[in-house]
Amino acid sequence: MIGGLRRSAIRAYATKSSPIISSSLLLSRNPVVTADLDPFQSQFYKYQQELWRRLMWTFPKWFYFREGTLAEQRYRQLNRDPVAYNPDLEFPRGKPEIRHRRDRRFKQEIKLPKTYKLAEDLAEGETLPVVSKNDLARQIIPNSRITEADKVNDLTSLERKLSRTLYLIINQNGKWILPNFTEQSSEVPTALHKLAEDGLYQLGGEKINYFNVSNTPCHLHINQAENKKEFIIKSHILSGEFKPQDESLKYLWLTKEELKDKLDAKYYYEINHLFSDV
Amino acid sequence: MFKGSIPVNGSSRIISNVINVFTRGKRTKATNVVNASTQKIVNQLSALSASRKQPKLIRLCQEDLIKHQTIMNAWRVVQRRNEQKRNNQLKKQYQSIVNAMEDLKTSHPALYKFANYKPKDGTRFPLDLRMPTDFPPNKPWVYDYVPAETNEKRAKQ
Amino acid sequence: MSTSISHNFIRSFSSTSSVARTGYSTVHPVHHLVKVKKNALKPSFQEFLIPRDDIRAVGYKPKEIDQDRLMDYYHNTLQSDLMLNMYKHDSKKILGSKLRSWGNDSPFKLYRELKKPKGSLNQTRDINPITFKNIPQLESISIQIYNKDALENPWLNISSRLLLSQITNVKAKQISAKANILPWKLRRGKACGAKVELTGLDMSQFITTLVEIVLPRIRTFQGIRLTSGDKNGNITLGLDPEDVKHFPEVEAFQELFPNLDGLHITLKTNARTDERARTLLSSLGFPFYKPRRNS
Repeated sequence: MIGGLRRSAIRAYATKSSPIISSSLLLSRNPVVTADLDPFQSQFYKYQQELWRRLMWTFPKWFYFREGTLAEQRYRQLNRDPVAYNPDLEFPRGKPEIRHRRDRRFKQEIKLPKTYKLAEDLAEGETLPVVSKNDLARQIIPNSRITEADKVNDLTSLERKLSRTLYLIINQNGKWILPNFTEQSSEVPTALHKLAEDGLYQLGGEKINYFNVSNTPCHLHINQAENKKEFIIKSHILSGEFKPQDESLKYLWLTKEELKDKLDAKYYYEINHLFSDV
Repeated sequence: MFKGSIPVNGSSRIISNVINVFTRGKRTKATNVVNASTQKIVNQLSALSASRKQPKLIRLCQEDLIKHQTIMNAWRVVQRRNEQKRNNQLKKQYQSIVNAMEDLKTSHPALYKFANYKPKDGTRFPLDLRMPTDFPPNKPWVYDYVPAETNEKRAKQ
Repeated sequence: MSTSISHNFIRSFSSTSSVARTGYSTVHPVHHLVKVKKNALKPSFQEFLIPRDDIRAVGYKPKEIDQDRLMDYYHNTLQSDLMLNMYKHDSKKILGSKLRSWGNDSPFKLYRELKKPKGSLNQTRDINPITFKNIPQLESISIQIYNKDALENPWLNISSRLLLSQITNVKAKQISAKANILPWKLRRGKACGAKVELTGLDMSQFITTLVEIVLPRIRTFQGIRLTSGDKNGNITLGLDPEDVKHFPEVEAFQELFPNLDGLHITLKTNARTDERARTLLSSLGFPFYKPRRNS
């Protein structure tokens, strides 16, 4: 796969007595969008928001819409005044208490004039005007949290599962591992994080913007089979393309749960606390 | 209180003397009128104050109160569990850092020195490290990253 | 009274105290030492005694109304990164300078007021090495507006308070002058600005607005000065009146806020040093810069 890796493996067998110090890279892509809410969370937030809206002060319309302006007229058309109390009428939901044109027993719902037209607002025979993408008055439609990569389940894409942290693993000799790098010449020692950085550029090309969290390794994995000490260096990929320099390199960007299936069970159990749950 | 005029001129503050308009006799609509700038201040004050803007208190019946308290207790239990889980994970991560450094110290002192080096002013996290947003940007990932000069030099070497 | 003194006179340091004392016991009953605001016990005030986070309380306001994306980001990603970043192996606790004893070789030194700490007037706090227990975290933000025009025309303070309340979603408190300084036209008790303390969701919302909308649009903004900080992990930055214009709450309604004021924003962290606080703030997206010597 990579020259350095193969050579190191040979050397490992030659000097079995002292373990080789190598550096592994825990490269993660941080979430791009906020975490998905579970049903309990979203229901709780909805409940709290309703309470909050119910306890809100009345919207000071007179402050934002000056009397006699066109904007105020439009506002008044959209927001009709509540029915005032009348002793001659029957109010099944109780006596309205109106202050500043709001029934203070309920939450205030305000409709603001739209700057764009929807299909249902159109009169007969009218068509929707063509709106340019730079028009500030256009309707804002947020992008989907599910991307193309999610739809085709492309495990090598950096755009998959935007709400989760993804970790890079590579396939070496039919086994999925965190990318591991060993020093070529041992005369001048290279710092572990430097070794990991060089290894990353060799592996995925130079056009990667990444952030190395610290010089300090976050874990030590002792690889008995290859007589190696693997110090794990944590870093984040920020932008750029991970383009394997070796055509035959197999790599994946996976979440914590998916790593459990791919990695060796013992190996995963040892390092699972390094992976983020979100 | 706010009977006066404040001509306001853009960003510079020009404040003329307050002119009090006194009217003798009964307060009528005609005498009670305030000028535009005073009205502006009155509006500002009323936007800030709670007067006549507060909603009615929530009076829950016993059943609803118990429902509410159950929801809040459940929420607190979930929050506490999550916090505990996070703290346990952090503790494990901390232990692994300590173990790794302890091992490195004995097995390779030179590398240990590199690994334990911390700049005096602390490190700065890059601005490219972004907080997650509710919805993704138009391009979820920036692929055409051009490395800085230092990286280009490295590439030439 | 004079007879009682002549009967059992006890010699003490102060003679006047025993003379002034009346005949009965000098031990004060305990219940007089505990101050009880009896007027607060009035039955009609009962509902005001309920804590504010209870739904029955008058001042109840739900706090966790939405997902807090800043705190989620901090807990999911930053916290463990900050721990790894700031961890230093074999580092010891750095003791702060504390009040010192005068020694115990003389009885006079025993109860003497302690000596000032070495090299400073005030005590400084210990700096502990970073572990999983003391990872720096943002605690609160306090924002302050000083409006000196309000000293002459008190109504100008209304717009300062409103501006701050609009930006932060928390009702601003009025601040008043503490001293009489004639050249500055300061009179004790005169309103001269507004302040607000943000925690929780309001704090996160303010930080996100600042980092994602306001600061990137200030053309002259280079970052927070590296000289800023109170040596205890609290970093302050200032915004000019022109910069405040970029807040979306102000930008859309510029004619409603003709008089803008600058903000003094203090980001309070539980980091013990400014360096750690800066690392934390840089991870939240605040840039820093080193000001030149002469500027």
